[in-house]
Amino acid sequence: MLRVEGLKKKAGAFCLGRIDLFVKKGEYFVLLGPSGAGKTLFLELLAGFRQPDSGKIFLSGRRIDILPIQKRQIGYLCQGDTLFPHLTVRGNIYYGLKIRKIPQRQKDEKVAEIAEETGISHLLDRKIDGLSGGERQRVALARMLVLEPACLLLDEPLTGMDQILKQDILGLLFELHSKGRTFIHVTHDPQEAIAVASRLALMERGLVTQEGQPIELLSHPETEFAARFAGIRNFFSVEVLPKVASGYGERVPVALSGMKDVPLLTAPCSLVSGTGPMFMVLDQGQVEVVDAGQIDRSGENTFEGVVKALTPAYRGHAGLIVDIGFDICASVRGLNSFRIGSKVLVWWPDKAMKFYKKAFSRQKKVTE
Amino acid sequence: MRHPDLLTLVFIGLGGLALLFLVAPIAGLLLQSSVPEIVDTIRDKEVCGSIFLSLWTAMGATFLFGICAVPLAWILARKEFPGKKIVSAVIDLPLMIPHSAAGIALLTILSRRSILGQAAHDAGFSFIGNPSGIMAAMAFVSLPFLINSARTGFEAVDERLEKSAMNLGASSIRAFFTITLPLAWRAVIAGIVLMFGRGMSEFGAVIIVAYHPMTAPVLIYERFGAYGLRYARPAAIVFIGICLVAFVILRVIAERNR
Repeated sequence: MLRVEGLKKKAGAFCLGRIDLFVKKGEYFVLLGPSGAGKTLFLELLAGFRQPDSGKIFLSGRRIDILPIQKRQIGYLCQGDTLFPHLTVRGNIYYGLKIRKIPQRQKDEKVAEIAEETGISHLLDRKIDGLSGGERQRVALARMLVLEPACLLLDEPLTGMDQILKQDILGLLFELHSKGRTFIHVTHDPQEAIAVASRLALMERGLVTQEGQPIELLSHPETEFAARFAGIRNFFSVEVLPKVASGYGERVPVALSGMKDVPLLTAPCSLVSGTGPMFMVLDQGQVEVVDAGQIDRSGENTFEGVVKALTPAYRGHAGLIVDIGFDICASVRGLNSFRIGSKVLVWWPDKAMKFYKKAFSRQKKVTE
Repeated sequence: MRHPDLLTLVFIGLGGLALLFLVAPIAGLLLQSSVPEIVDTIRDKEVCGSIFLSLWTAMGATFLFGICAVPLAWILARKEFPGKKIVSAVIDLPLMIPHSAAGIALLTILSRRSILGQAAHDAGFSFIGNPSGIMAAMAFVSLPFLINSARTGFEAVDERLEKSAMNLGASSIRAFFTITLPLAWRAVIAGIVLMFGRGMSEFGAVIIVAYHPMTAPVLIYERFGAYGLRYARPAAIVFIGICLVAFVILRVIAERNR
């Protein structure tokens, strides 16, 4: 359906790409990323509002990056609506149809149909100024969808809406998509992304850093941002080293990538397959923290550390960040006597660790 | 009612002085003239002819040069190009220079010695002492008002609206006429009113390019020089009255178009 190959664009100090992406027909594709990641710029390149420095965009096999905005067959719903304030709701929806060479009766039918579908039939003769945020978004959607674009780009369509309105518009988007339309939705809100996405891509600093089914991304994050998005606080890039005969028994040493002078961890061979670069997540709920000196303990993955930060208790659990040469987050029952600067002993059971290899191949292409 | 604060009181005082300064000469003009004098002036064919000439040449200048000025305003509002600041400065130039100097400058391109003037002469026509020369002089000094006002108007229209119109299938020309221009219309009309008003009342540049046929400002000056204040005053009152009526009409049209 929509294929993006090697798309690049420099805008001031910001650099987008290179981006390679494929969106299937009928897919609800969500691009999730923090503010300033380049999401809007990417959509503007797709819609033709801006020209890329290099790269190609194909829609249904046809190259469209060389076509003017009008011929791309891509609907773009800009962030903050761009309804024409001097026209009525009907005038806005008719705007694109007027240019099309189809009989007037057919145009009227299309407008009535899309107004019904988006729930704005009663607003058709209203002026834009008097509409609420939700109504404006519905009109903007109707104005686009009445032209039946091959693909609809939605730029933060729920920004500035309260929770109830968000649910309302999300429901509408989901319903509109269920009729076979292809949507590319851009957002910074993980909950919004999870609610509608049939496939998800993460964008950071102008690059797509991970892509896949939402469930896949939640369970196997490959970047700090993806881990945060999945609610994982202890996420590490590690290097699983070859097993050394002496000292480790049936365990392998694990080094944290890119960090010097930090202690080595160990993992049972049964938990890791092979050696080399991997990701490790550590369940913060299973990390044990006690005051140093309270007990005497030694063993695998046991470290002395200093409490760096405390977060207030929520539902009986409080968060601790402990510096053991690198930062580890732990969730403990009550803060007890922990203070910032307290010396503590930290350890975790083997089952708290999960190792997986990098699966997202785009990373390699990006650095080419 | 609450007592106004000190700042408001001071500003009312200062602002009132400025207003008085504007109103006093016109009030003096009215108070020192009698009704029969003014009626006689309205019946004076020379006065009527000069006012009519001022009106239609100012309208013609605004219309003819506006066709080029509005697109230039859009370019300045939307596009970035090398030398844009210089172009903006050049547009503002007529506001800074003495209008007599503007007239002299115009002569260099309109007189028979210039290429344009020679071409006109060959076609059996001359800019000098001709309504076309008057229009050129009026346009030269008043164009900045239209360009700057329209430019501000275009800048205030979100560019994304134009792009959205194009995304809905409109050509760039259609997007301009159906979205940008209607939304910037008030500023463009305000610019037209200012350009028309400034053009109509232009004296310095016009008198150098065309003493005859006489526009109203030139006629008022001539009567003042030849016969004194008493004879110039009624003509000035009539001209000011006509200017006010023209402005009110244009403003009403602009408001209707909102």
